[in-house]
Amino acid sequence: MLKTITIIYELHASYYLFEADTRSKVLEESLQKLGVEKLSKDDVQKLQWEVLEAKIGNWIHFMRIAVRPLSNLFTYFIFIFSFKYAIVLEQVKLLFAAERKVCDQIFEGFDSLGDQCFAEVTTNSIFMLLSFGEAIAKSKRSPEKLFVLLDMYEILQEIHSEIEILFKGRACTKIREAVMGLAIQLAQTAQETFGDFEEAVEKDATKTAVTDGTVHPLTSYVINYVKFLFDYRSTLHQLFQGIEGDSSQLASVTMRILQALQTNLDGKSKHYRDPALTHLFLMNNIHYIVRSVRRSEAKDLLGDDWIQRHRKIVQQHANQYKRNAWAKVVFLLIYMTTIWLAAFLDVIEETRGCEMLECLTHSTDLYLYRLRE
Amino acid sequence: MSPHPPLILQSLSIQGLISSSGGGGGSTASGDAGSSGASRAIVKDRFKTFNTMFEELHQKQSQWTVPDTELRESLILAVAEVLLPAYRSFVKRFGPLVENVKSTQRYVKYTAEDLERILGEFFEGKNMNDNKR
Repeated sequence: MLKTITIIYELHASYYLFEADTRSKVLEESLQKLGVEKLSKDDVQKLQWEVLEAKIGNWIHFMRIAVRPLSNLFTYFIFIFSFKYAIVLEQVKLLFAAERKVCDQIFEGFDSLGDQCFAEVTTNSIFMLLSFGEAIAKSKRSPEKLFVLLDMYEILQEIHSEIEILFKGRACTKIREAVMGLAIQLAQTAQETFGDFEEAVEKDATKTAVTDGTVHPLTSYVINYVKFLFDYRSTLHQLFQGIEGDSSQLASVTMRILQALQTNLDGKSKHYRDPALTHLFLMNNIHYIVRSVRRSEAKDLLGDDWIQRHRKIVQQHANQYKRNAWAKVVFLLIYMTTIWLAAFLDVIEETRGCEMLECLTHSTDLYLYRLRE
Repeated sequence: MSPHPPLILQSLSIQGLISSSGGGGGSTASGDAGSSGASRAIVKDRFKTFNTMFEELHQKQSQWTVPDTELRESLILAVAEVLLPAYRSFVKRFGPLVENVKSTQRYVKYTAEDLERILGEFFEGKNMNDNKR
């Protein structure tokens, strides 16, 4: 009985294009019911950020489930009653796997025909999914979108092996190449976004008044951004490795961003009239950077030398603050004491020699040294 | 002559102190210093200048902020380590010159412990309106 059915379907092989076209439309309609939309680059740029984020979340979800083959459910049932009567399924994860299975079953023994049938059925749908990713990759860059690019890049890497299995054969070459091309494009856009962010940090000219010398909002924003980056550490290593073959690229990118931040803070600190407050501001902000790095995964990446170097900078600013704020008042005090002791020593010098004078000199030098330290 | 820098010997305060000592002959140093109008005036001025400077620093820097507790405490300690010994020495040597003067409190306004307590109020980000001093 099974053999008879198989022979019958072989006779209909010449009609596969018509049937493939029909099933392709069915698949597209199913995707649309699930909220998958074809969006252009301009459409993406007009979307509000929150809406865009939700759509991207959907995209990642669909890509993850669409290629997870669940082939067991439909083997016997579909074979017996043929694809014409298969129930239209409402979940993407079954659609592609089911289609693959149907084509394989119908054209058992004719692999190239099965591949071609599957390619015809799925091409429009997979390109609908990929077009959204492509629109994101080509849309205007912004720091927030970097994480979206990395999410999309990550999922494409994750499903790579399944793509190779599901879209096997010459007929699906275009699909495999499109997926690979999107991954490359996402990686390139991510790298450009890094450069944009570094430049934006260095040139940030917001006039946020930090009159009390505390941690500037730019500092906490950049530090939070870097922390999020480290959630993508493995993805970033893969991304940089693939393009530049340098696994320490992430460290140098992070250092450049933090250096851009410090350069900007130096500029902002010059707005204070009181030099003591200038140094207090820089002390506060660099201390915040160092403390955040020490408490995060960035510590291992940047290294102990970086941390120690910047702790010294914090200490230098603390000393500069102390000198600028207090040297005058402390000198007022020790000057009088110095004068008094000098007068006293003048009186007794003839009988005591220079011992106390040396003691005085040492004591005064000690004060001045502590101011200078 | 002594290896002292000449500038110090030419200081008015030095001349005041020395002339008192010299003029007194066999009198005690403290007694002579106490009777010297010139040196006492200088000491009063220094006390008042210090008080004013410290109060201005307190008012201004209490409005500044060091949000990290550990960093704030270490910074205040670093200031105290330099300021308090200098102040104690200053009060010890020159306090007696103004102790019999009317309104002594105008001069020796603070003890070293007072300064230490007030330093604890620095860097807390107080607003101008909150400052009741």
